[in-house]
Amino acid sequence: MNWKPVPLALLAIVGVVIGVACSGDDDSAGATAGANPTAYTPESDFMGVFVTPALPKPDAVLTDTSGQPFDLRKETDGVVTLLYVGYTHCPDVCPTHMADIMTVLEKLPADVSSQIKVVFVTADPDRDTPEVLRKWLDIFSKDFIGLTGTQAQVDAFQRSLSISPADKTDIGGGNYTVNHAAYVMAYSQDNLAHLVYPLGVTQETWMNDLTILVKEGWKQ
Amino acid sequence: MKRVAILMAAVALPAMLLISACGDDDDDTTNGGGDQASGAHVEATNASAKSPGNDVASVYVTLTNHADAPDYLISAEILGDKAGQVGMVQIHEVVTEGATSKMQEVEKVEIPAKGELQLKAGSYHIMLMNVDPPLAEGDELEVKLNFENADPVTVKATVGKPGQDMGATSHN
Repeated sequence: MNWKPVPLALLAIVGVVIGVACSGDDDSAGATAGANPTAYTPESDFMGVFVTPALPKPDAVLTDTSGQPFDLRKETDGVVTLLYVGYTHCPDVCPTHMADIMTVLEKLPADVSSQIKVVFVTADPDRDTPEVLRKWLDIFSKDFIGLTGTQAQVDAFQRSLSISPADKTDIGGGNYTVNHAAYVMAYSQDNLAHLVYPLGVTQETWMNDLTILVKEGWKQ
Repeated sequence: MKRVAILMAAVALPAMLLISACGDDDDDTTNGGGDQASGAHVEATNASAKSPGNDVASVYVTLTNHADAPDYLISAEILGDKAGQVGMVQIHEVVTEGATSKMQEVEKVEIPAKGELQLKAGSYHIMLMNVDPPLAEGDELEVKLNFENADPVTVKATVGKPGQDMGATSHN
């Protein structure tokens, strides 16, 4: 239970950054976007939300969308990895995050985007079977990695990221909602997430930070 | 008090429909119901819908309250030819605590006096559930919004791809 102070600290940081993001939330596409991007030069230092201490990558073996075991640390070792915990019956935050990432990866030049892995872990394994996950992720990208597991595995995974484990709330008609991550975690080549991205960050922020993470790595 | 307000709205709606059926001055895509007696008047603009391809979808809209008193969005319903596809409609908000977010149903949402409420990703949305068959990109939804004081408003929301370009920002 020593993870409790972390969410509070994160909350404060996220609050500040959302305020900043909202004050200039328009024109987020950036001028460099094009059909066949060949180059993108970051304009500033990291623009995401800093997490101190950095989040370690969960030491977990889950199940991928082909039903095979997926060792997160081994499979993403040394690679810039965007990790999000959500569920496919979430109509709002989860697809928006995934769509934003997809859009940014399409806008980045291939020498950057090909060096980034995107991992979506479901918080709702009862409904999100490997097949359901694959079908949903394919809306965004066939390259996005989808992971599921037992409820206990997924709960432990969330706890290791300071996310309160899935706590199903019945909202009627056979529907329920579950807890999920408030932001996307960006792991750098050192296998730590020093940066997270709440909903509402601009595409410019993503493009800037992902380019630096891929080309220069994490730097203080 | 709330029950009375809902009843008044229910009475006001058929009257409004009758008027618009007879007249040619009503454009139901972006408008506001007006309650002459109380001055309650809410305008709905920038409506959009997103469906991530399964049996849920969300509707976003900007609500402007022209009255001197706060008003409340109390419910929403789907009318028209897509009504039969949508099993349940609720108003939801996303609540974030630390690293954890969760969606929950809310009874009503305040639209400040002479102010604006933007339903957007990460905040409030109209949640459509048990959608069967799933909505397709380009589908047009007719969404009726019910308020505590103002007359109901009906807007059209086109289903688009998820992402911040739809609903989440102040794009036109």
